[in-house]
Amino acid sequence: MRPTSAGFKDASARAVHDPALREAIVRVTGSLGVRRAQVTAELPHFDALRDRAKRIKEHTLAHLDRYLEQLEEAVRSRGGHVHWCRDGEEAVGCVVRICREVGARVVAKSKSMVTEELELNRALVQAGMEVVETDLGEFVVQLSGDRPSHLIAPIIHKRREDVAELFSRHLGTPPDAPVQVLTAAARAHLRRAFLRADVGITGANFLVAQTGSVVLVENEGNARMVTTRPRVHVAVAGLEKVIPRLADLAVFLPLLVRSATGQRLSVYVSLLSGPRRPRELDGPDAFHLVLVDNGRTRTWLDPDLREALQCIRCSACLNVCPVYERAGGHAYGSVYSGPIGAVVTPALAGGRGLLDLPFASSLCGACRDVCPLRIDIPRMLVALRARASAAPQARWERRLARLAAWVLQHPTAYRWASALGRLGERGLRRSRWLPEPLRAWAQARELPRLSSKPFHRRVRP
Amino acid sequence: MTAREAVLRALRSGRPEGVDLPEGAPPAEAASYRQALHTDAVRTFCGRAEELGVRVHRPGAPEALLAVLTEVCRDRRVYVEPALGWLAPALERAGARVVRWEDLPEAEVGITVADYGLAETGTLVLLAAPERPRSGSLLPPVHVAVLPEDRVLGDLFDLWERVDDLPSALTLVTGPSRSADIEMSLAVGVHGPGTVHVVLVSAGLLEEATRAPAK
Repeated sequence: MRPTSAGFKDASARAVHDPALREAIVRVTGSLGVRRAQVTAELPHFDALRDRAKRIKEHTLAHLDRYLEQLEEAVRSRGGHVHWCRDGEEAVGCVVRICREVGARVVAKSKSMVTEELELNRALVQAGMEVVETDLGEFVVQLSGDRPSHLIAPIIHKRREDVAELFSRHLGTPPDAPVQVLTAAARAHLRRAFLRADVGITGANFLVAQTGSVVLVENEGNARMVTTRPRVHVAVAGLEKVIPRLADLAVFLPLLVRSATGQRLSVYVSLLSGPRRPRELDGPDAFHLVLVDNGRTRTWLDPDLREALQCIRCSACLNVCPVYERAGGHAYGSVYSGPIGAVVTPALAGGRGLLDLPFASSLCGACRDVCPLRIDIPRMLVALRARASAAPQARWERRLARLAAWVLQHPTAYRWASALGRLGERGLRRSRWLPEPLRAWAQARELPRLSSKPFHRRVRP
Repeated sequence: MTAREAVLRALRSGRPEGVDLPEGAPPAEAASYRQALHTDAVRTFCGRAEELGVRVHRPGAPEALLAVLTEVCRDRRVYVEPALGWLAPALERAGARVVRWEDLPEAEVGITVADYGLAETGTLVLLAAPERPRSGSLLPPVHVAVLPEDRVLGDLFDLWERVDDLPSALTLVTGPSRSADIEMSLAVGVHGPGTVHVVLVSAGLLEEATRAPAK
């Protein structure tokens, strides 16, 4: 996973000054948030499900080795193949090899964040294959050479007019076509791809250790298509997706779907267990499960960040985050955006680069409150901040903090500092005279006026 | 060292304090909610499905069942899954053009059995089998599912009590195919069927209907 930009700060600066983007994000996150609140309130036991899910995840992650082995055994016993991959390079190589071995020319994909993380499409195209993204949003992303900007609503940043213009160039629809016409055009175009594809590639929302099943949650039907029509199905999944039993799906599916889209259940949930059986008319002849580590065991070994592996990618935290709302998903420079992205991205990258992502939060805690797994995102952001400020780049910050600590411990110094502050604040209000970086800092803030008589002198004259 | 060994070794190197796996039964807090689901599961199922735009039919006699299907299928290319093969002659007599498996991509209607219904969410449960291919409920723009009333359960907890030996594909279908990717405006029939009919039948009616077309 390569971060796209130098950092969150620069990337978000543009988004903050784009009112159309802000409006688009608020429309989507707002309506998802309202529906989520309605359908979660409908279940008197919603919080009990959250507690249950949390315990299942804690248990499963504590015994991850055992559950992965059980999963592998169950997949094999149903005629499937399991491939373990340490990093992105191994995973991509593995998928390319499977596709080559079956002589694939056309590969149809359903929406999968982990394959975005691995940048799988690029490798498949380089290997000479035609890759078709079949989720409507991801199809638009692919046609426009863009990146998804929300976990479940990948083109939240695009207007209907943008899509209409794109489709008129590529699919020949009228330049002012309404949504239903655009959808119909994509359906017709992608239907041909489904029927031509040799290999179907999906992610996995869950992996059931008990039965060796891949669970796919979707609304459009494209995941059903890519796991039904092509000869080969390849599921790519992070190690952390495993859950122990079928019965656990009665806990996780309502949590995921109600938190994600505010539906009671998504339109299609597929449980796929191995390739087609004898005498079955359709379904793939071969099934491959590609288990991807790519930083997950490292995250697992890190007590501060292990909790991030409990995430089921529902995106509820994005939809309530004031920073995501203003910065947009692209600013996070990673396929995983929003509050959980600010944790997962540096965690998977092993702390390399991305030093400013954990600062992309006001620590208001809305993400933790709304998370179906009650993941303590602010706690992890603070832990990551502590690491970032220990980095050599943060030398000046550390010196300033030490100076502040000293001033606060010495009354005389404190009195001098507040007197200086009353002088200095006038300068900060005339920000255009200031040198950078003080100028940028002062321009975006309105400081309350310091009182001419400080509080401690009023209570103790 | 293979990748498998490397991953497993890393995971064994620092086992964190674990909690026990909670039992799989529904949480106690759900008791009264689930009891309400079970008291009138069929009616709840119909209401929830209709909210999603599913058209629910409840024929009382074999003739009515055929009338419902005829209404949907007349003058259309129809794929009938082998499990319901006995319906095909009657549908042809009623003016439908029944297509073979090979021509499924051209079918306008797909008729299948549904193995279970879930009242809580208005969901159909489809289990793949040799006489129950997955594509029959997927490729045609209209899906008609025949669901025996006594197969309507409350929720997913009930389902996993009955199904533990999974087929190659178990599919939960909740309403017509949809997408809200473009500006959150709802578009139906994106890849799967845009129209879903559920024909709820009593177990006796289905048996009677199986014999009837032979006359």
